[in-house]
Amino acid sequence: MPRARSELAFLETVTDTDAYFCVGKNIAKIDAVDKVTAKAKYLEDMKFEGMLHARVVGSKVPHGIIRRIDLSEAKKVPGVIDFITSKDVPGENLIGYIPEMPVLATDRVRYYAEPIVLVVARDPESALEGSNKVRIEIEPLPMLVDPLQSFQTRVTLIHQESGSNIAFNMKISKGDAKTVLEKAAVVVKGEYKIAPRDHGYIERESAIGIPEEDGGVTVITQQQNPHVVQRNVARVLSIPTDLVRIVQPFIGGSFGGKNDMGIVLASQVALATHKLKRPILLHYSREESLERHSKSESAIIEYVSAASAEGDLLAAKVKVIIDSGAYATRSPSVLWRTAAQITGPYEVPNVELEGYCVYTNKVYVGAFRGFGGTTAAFAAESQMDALASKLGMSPLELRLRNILRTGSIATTGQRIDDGIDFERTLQELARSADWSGKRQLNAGQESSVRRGIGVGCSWHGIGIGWGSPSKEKGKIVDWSSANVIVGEDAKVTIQTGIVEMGQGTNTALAQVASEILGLPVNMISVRTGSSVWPETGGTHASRGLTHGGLAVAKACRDLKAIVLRIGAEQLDCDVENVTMVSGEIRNVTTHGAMSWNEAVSIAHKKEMPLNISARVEIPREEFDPETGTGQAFLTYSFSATIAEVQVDTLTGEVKATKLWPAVAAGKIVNPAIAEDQVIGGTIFGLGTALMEEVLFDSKGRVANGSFSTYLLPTMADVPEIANPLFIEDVSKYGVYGAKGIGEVIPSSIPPAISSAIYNATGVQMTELPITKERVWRMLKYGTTATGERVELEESVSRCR
Amino acid sequence: MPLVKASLLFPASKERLELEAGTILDVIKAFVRVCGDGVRKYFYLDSGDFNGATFVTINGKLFTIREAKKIPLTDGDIVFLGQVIDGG
Repeated sequence: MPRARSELAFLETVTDTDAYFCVGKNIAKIDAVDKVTAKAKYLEDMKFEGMLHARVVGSKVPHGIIRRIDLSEAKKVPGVIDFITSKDVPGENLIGYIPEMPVLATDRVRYYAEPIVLVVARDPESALEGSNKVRIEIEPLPMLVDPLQSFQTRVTLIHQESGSNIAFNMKISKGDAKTVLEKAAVVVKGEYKIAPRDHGYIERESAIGIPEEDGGVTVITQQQNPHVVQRNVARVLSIPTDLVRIVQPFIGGSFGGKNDMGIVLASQVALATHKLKRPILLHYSREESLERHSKSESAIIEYVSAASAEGDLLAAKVKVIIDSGAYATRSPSVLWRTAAQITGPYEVPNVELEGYCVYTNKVYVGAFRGFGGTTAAFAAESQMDALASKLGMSPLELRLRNILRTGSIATTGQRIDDGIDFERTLQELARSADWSGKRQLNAGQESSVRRGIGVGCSWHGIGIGWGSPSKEKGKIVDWSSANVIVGEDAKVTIQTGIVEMGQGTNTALAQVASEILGLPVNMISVRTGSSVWPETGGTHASRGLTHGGLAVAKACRDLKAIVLRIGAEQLDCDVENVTMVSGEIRNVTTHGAMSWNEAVSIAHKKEMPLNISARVEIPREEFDPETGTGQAFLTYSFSATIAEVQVDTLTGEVKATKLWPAVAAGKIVNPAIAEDQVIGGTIFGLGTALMEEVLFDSKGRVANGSFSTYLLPTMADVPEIANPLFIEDVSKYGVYGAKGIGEVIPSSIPPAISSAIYNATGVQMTELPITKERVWRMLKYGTTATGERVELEESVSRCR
Repeated sequence: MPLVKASLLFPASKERLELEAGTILDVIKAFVRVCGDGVRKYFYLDSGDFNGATFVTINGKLFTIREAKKIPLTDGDIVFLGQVIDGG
């Protein structure tokens, strides 16, 4: 049986699925019945006695100085109870992952819709009417919506003390890209633009604040990192952290968005609750949500690649500008991931990158599924297609020639020491999609409607990029924590700060516990997402199961050791001779057995502790931020997609006709959930590729602030999707060899579709989304540029 | 010396201090003293240079450590130190 030893001694990875009791099996999601029977309560379903309703009043200008807030007319609205402004903040009026952003603006606003006042009323209608009657006088300042203009100017400054609008810059300097580029046989240059996108979750942002007798506050809200939300709220209220409790309801989608918005809404509602000592619901309307919540990065990338005449990649020189919007918060991290993944899953020996985050007067950038990875993949893969064309090679052949293998040196100089098998993934995918046959069929088409087939690859670093300081060891680590508790009823409860947003992590964590303890999943409850459970870092960076599961595994191993000792004592044998299978502790020699329930009962009678806490730290290698080199991430997931498209060269309309997704993301703990992730991620990537774009008008206001104008793929847009191909390249860093799936797959879709359009038409798209207008312009003029600023009317008309 | 409030935005033995500090360097020294060497890597590279991956905010204004060290702190300043590279 093949085995991969983990550096984490308690984890032993077995790649033969038959050897598992529960891991690798299609266990139904443990919350599925609650969801389909409507037992699951989402935040909007919750009512508390005497609950008030809050509404945000935002800025109507994108950049300015607040001169006066006039509440006189709003106070006359029956049902309006009170107003909250920045003057009501008892603590620090600064929130976010980089605490730069006020809960409520004090003297200056930096984007349209920036929150200034909270109106609290008896009912939602009064809150709305009251909010419409708040008058805020703002002296406008010059504004910046264009990141390039913002990058260059020193006159208009969004954060005036900075001296420029550059929020953050970084570089990667590996080898000598400049010299290699001068001498290389083949050089290609490209400039790429990626539009900002909206998460498009069905459930809008909400939070309920509940005052507590101890002077604290409980906040029920959707979020992805309960302890970070807790600390933000505590600082805003100036109360001890333990007096703030963050509780997670069922969450109706996040895709990264509620990572940032959880902090914002929790802080706002806690502020109102703390002042008024009443339960308060804050709930964004769809329009508020679309105009005010964080967006994906938009980026401009200048990229020069070099290869040898044989097709070996030699060098990349890249400049990345990320539009941060009004506050930096997550954009430096997004830039960093874009940079670390900028050469794609290929070995490029010389890399020079300069990256910038630039402030503009637009809503800020936050976490978004892919987190800069989609941006990197589109640019890197487009360069691969351009190089293949210039070299006269197949795009697939070029990719396979340069693909990362175990032992390869990745973008930042990191040696890939994990077992990866992306080469086989791409080869098997090409066979299953009949790549060669279809490429031949597409050659020499002359009709106006043309078929094309293309390939796109992506990779995604797993876990937090830099790591955290270890509490004990003085090292930088990634980490997780969990409790496992056995009750009097012998059932097992897992407690951890990981957040379930619909992705299925709770089910997978239950499977991990089930596997170790030999118990059926229905004996295991999973409690996650609350600040009362052990802090375990955010549920982001595709780390929920891979790293979140490590502490669960360790706690279960420790628990198992205790129960086995009890079993050995009762069965009168050495502990080495007992095993735990299917709810029983068995003597492997005599076949004598006792049930799990009996063993637990004995433990409780003897007052043996069956409450186990575990913290796992995964040591990180060095990373030098000055040169941008070293271990960027512990390990990587990989994805490849082959896309088949049909392009109408007269109208520019692109129709994806079939997609073949493939993933090499380590051990698949639950194949059905993994398949859901891949199918969902494929459709998510389809939206990025062909239609999704948050448009801003000349005032920096979201111009397509509804789902009738911000287009998401519907089932009518979804092509045939082949059964996902999974290659289990087990990781030594993840629980049972698992790596993350959710973020890697969407990033391979846009380059695959763009590559297929290139195959069909001979023109290469350089902007996302690839709208039919852009395709038409590219076919007709060889550029997508309109040369005009997008105005509101045009923006909206472009949406349909 | 001015009295400031300083917070670390990553897990450590002590995440929040009220202290007298003239510059951000005084804040860093205090955190290393209180939290131990585990947090030193966040502020300094092995070469002794400042870690460019750590940000500082002073009253909500974002700086690198290198930029922030030149800024005199004043009474009531709110300082955060955290990692630029996080999440995803």
